[in-house]
Amino acid sequence: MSPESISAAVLVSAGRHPVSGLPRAPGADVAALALGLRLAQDQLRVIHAGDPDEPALRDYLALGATRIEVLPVRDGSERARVLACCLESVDIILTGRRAEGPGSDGLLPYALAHELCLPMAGDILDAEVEHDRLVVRQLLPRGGRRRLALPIRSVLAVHPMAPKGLGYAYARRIAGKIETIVPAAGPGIEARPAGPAPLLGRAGRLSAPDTRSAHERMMAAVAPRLEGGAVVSNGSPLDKAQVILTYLRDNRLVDF
Amino acid sequence: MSSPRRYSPRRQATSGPSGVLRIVLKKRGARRTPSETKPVRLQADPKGWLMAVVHTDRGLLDEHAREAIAAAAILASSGEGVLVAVLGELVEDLAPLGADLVAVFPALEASRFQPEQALAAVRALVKTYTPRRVVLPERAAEGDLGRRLVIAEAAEGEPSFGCDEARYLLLGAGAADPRLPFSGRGEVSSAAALPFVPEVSEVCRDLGREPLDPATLALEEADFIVSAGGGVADVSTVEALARTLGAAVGASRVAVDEGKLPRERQIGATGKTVTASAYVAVGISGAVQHLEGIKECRHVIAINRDAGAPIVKRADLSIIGDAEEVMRALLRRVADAKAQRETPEQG
Repeated sequence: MSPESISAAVLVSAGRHPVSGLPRAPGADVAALALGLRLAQDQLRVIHAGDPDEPALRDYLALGATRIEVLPVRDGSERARVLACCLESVDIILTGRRAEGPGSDGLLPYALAHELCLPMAGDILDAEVEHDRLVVRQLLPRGGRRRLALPIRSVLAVHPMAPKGLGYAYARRIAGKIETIVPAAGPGIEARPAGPAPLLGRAGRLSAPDTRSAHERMMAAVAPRLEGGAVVSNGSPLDKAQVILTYLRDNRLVDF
Repeated sequence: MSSPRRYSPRRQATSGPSGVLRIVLKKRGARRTPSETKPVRLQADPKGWLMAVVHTDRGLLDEHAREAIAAAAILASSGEGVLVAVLGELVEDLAPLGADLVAVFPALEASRFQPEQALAAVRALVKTYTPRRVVLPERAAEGDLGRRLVIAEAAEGEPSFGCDEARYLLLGAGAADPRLPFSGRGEVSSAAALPFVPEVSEVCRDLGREPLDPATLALEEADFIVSAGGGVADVSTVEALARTLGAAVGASRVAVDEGKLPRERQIGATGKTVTASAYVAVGISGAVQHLEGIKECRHVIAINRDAGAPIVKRADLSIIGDAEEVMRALLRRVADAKAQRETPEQG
């Protein structure tokens, strides 16, 4: 498969700034858009499932999407099925790792991959087409990177740390089009009940009830706290170095 | 309702070393010290199960994974046991975290990408034990596995999301307190007792990890950091040590202000907050602003001349002595260790 004939779709969400609450394009979705533009320049479809009048969508136009297709889907878990109906002919499906907001669960790429029977990989930083496969770079915790080989047709959830490198142009924001498309909904589409309602307010930390008596709690509170670990102050520098190396080896922090 | 306990003002008293009278609250023999062995939560064989799924890192669990297991133990009712599925090898005892039964899958470590096989193993456990809830820490590997589990279960017709009681819980970091007043049974299930897991072929092929130069890595991402402070005379020794150990170089504010290291290497309240597994603080006294930045580091090793410095209280291992000498000795020792390791493999 030549790189020119590859089609890709980016599913973008409407984000909200966590502090100001202003509409914005979430970082992971912008990174997915950037990756989509690199993979399939003009073959890229940008799709949003939700409200066509959403102000955050204009940000994607300013960042390089020329046209955004909007599927008017209400909130709920039928999103994956409706999206799957219009994504059957697309090779690479890109999403952000997780939408912003209290109702986001990060399940959409998984549900979509299941509906379309495609493989799925998350936390993607980069992807490129090599012959008949897709080689992606995945972010691992604590500075790791891993390369995976997937079939061309797959679902990728992009990590917010993926490179973006898109310029913002106000002219594109004005000139871009947002079009509402009506999905050819199959007979199988039925609304499933939405997930649990987001809890407002601050949740407490889950902890086991303290069964100690008041006396025991007081004694625990006034007991001298054991702070610090082992202290080595005697011996030659080489002995001290050996102590450090033994500690590193015991805790499996080094592999020699 | 019980009336408040009252003590007689004329009750027995002893005179302390300085002659001050002290009231004896309880008799010496009857005084209970906080016991090391906690009571086991389960009294009888469990009627139902709660489950936690965690990955281990080099055989050990980190704080987030501990919280997930403890959360399952806290949420379990009195008759329910806590089953822990450990993906990757395990070298520690999980009884203090409330685990009653531990199922270890050493081949399913997080360093290899095998989502389908991990999904099959956990699904087999879920089908055998039918836990009321499954708790997973919300982070890269387990978050991925948990979402795959939810979708796989929803596809089989079981409403796992959408009902009042969610079966799968993805627990954020810090959402549960891992200090429990009870312990679990901590039995490790033998490999024969585990449910049969069929071999699943992976669609995605793992091409292996990419070697990354820790020197170019952002400090927030680094797993091993060697950090220099005001007590370091020669920064090049710290850099050499970092290279030898495969670590990133950090700095305290004092070292940065003196121009020894660039500003982007600063760790602390005005610099970066790091989450490394291992943090070696060389010549750093440990001001609160610096300790704030290394709050989430798992193992802190301090090399310092002053045994009374605040970092000694924070560190898991403190070496008191001249930083330069200890670093040079450690460099030699590590070089020896690497050389010894290579010789038997060649021969």
